[in-house]
Amino acid sequence: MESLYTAADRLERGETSSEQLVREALDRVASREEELHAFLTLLPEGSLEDAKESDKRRLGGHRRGLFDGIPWAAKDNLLTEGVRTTAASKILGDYLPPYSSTAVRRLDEQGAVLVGKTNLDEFAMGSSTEYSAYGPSRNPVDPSRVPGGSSGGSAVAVAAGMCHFALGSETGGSVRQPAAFCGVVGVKPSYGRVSRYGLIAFASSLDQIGTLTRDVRDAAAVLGAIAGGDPMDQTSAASPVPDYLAAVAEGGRELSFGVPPEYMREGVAPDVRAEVERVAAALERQGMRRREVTLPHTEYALDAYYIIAPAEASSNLSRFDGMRYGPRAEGQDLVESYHRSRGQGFGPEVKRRILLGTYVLSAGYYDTYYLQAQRLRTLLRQEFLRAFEQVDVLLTPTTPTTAFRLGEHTQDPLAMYMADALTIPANLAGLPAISVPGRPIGGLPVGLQVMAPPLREDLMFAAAATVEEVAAR
Amino acid sequence: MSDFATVIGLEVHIELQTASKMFCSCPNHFGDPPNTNICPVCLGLPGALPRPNAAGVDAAIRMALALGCKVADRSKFDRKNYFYPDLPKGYQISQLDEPIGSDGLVEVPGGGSVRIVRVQLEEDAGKLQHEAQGAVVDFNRAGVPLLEIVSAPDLRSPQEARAYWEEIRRIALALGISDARMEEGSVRADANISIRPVGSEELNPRVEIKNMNSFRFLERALVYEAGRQAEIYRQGGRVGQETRGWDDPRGVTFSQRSKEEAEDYRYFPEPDLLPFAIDRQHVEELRSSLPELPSGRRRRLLWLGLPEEQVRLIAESRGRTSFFDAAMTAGGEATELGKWICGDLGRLENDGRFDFEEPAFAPEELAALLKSLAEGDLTGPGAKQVIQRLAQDGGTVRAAIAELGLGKMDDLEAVRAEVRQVLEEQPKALADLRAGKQQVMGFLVGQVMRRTRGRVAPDVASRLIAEEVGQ
Repeated sequence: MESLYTAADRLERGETSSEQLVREALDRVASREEELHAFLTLLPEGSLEDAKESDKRRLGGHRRGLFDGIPWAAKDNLLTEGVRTTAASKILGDYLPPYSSTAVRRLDEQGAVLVGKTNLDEFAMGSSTEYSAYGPSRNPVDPSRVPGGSSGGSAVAVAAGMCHFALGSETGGSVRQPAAFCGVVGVKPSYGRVSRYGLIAFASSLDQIGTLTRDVRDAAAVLGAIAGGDPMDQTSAASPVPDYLAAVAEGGRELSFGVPPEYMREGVAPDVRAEVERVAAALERQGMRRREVTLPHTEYALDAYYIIAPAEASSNLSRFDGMRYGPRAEGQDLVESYHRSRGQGFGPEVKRRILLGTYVLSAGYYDTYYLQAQRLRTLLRQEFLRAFEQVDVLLTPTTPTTAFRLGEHTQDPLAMYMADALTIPANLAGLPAISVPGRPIGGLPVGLQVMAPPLREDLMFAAAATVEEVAAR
Repeated sequence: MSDFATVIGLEVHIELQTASKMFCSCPNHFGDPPNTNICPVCLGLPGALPRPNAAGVDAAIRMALALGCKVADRSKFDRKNYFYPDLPKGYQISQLDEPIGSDGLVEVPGGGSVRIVRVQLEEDAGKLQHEAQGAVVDFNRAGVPLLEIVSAPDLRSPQEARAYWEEIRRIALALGISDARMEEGSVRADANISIRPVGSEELNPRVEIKNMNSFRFLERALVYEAGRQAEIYRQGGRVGQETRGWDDPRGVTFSQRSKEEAEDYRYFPEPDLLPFAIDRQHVEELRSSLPELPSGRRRRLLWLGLPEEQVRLIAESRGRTSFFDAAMTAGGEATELGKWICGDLGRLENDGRFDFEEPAFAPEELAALLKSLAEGDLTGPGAKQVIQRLAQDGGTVRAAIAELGLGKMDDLEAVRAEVRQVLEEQPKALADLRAGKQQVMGFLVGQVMRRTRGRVAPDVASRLIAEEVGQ
């Protein structure tokens, strides 16, 4: 499978055309989409037109850079002007956004060719895409298994060669976990690194747009293309974006790392732990210094997350009321119209989280739950910052297990929630984190996670480049 | 009623007159065609994020300072969650526990001092209108910056509550942070009212009367509500905490929601907006640039010797005050200025023929007019004509006097000639006067004034008539 860089090089050398790349991508879609269901919306005509425009630019000597003419896919909770955007929910119907998200716009401006919108768990709430209102996606490595989620469609599209890279979004691991399950690279940048403008909000203080790519260098390039402050998002960081590609080229041999024991306990499958240890030993042989670090509050992360994320979600999803967009179910009165529009529009997992969030914000419970969870979050962040005084980066497994089977966890929300236990802390602390494929276990992909201090994606990419190098051996 | 004391607290809402809305760049402008000043942010479209308007924050700080509040070093926004079709996001961005201003005090004219609990910044909702085909919403107002000013329960009568509200509005006008147009709903109030036996310090359950947009409604609603509660207590009943509305045509309050049905707004910090520090130096700059407030104007005008009625009239308007001040700086005597501003010019203003905010002539000309009067260059009736002319056409007193030919006639013989002419034309009045009917004197003086277009002082005319008649 071809990386974004390889494709861009071939374009540059005139060995292929954007039209050719798009046709190849669409051919892959044609042969595997029925089985894998990576997409909610495909843009065959539009992408071919865009590709031809790109080819004209390139032949006229006006290529816009690395991304010009490269086929890509966007998770369907990223707004795309004039292109149906559903968040995999019935409540948005066939919503046509009047504007594009900042991240999408930045790629558009660089000439990247959008081939389609990918499947996800409804409103990004889930870890398997089984909560999509339009049916689940399947893991291309083993279609009886889930691709992970919520950015499952994006991971599948990249892993199955249906595009050269994709954007996803994270709230608690929704890029890294499917990347780990599908054997691709997934990046969750620091909170604030990428503008959230035009990302349909799940939990505002945790949400962040991320990348799914074939390798670490592609990830560095895509993040570099979408990162940077945005006046439309006050929580975006104005600080300059470092040269991630230089960090990848440099590698992490000069860096130190730690493997916090809290990420290597019983809940994590022994062969997953063994793979992390194997890579850790290989990193040491590369010259990276390993130091002991502990993160004792890790065990509370999941609890804090399942209070904060639903609380914010319950408020963020209030706007979906059938009044201004999306289907409206009429009722006897206003209240009944609300009940019916929202009752019919939202799926069971979304309702579960709205209920949970509404409960924890209720008068009398706010202090016990929400405030307490925020305190834990502060402790967790401080603990990370202290650990980063000892080491440059942290190495952990991305997920406790490899991809599970479809239906395995749908009746047990808590088991499903556990799939994100190792990724959630980075969201709570606002850290950048990447999942890089390790050596497959029993034929199934496994992810190695590298976490770095806030806004230090450069350290993360440098270390990840070395992890990628040693993991492949 | 006299056996009960009334306890009232007010929440006043004032729409700020910023160029753009509070959290997006849509124009903040009243009266445009429905749903023309809207964007993804104020319409609550998926993916849209708010971005705060610094001008709104500054206006809130200035109001807080004007009300003697402490301005917070750090503030933040919170979400107030509830469902209503005029609320696009399903929550209002407001402030819960870190408002911009707190702990202020305001003097109510003719009343006591009232503690201000908080001054907070939030966004307005859209406007729901019921039409033949059903309810429709205009979102032009959604996201307009709104100040909420919460008083302590320090108001002791409906009249005082009204006076307090009027004072808050005057302060907002003086600061220039709002056009404060009642008829456009730019100023609204919710009132909390309870009553208790005279002498008691206990607070009984309160009733909140929501969303009043006129001073008269507020006063009427509170008078009614105090009476209603008194009647319940007299009959041995209990007043329950509830929200009531005011039905003005029927002159009654009616129950909207009991305490049990009260909404839980599930407040939490707005995660899309960062908490913000308020710079001390910036606050001090805003403080030093505050204009004179109505209370200060009133004190100053009283000290200058103006009667209370004139003080009230002048001080409540920024335009009248600045006109007064400029005329006084130009040498006008304060009490005379007060008479003209509240008298002839006030009447012209009421008729829509003069605007103190954008006066047709310079305030210095009013001082010049007083000078001409004092020095005898102009008679009282002549001065009135000059003012009319200036209000209509602008220009200077000197030019108006010349154009109108109003220069006082100081040639006594010329005046005497005019008097003789009048007496010749009015043989009957002359005969009556000779017969001792002194009341016709006024008529004859008037005739002289008319012939001379007010260029003769009335006392001179009357003296000369008397001489002619030989009295």
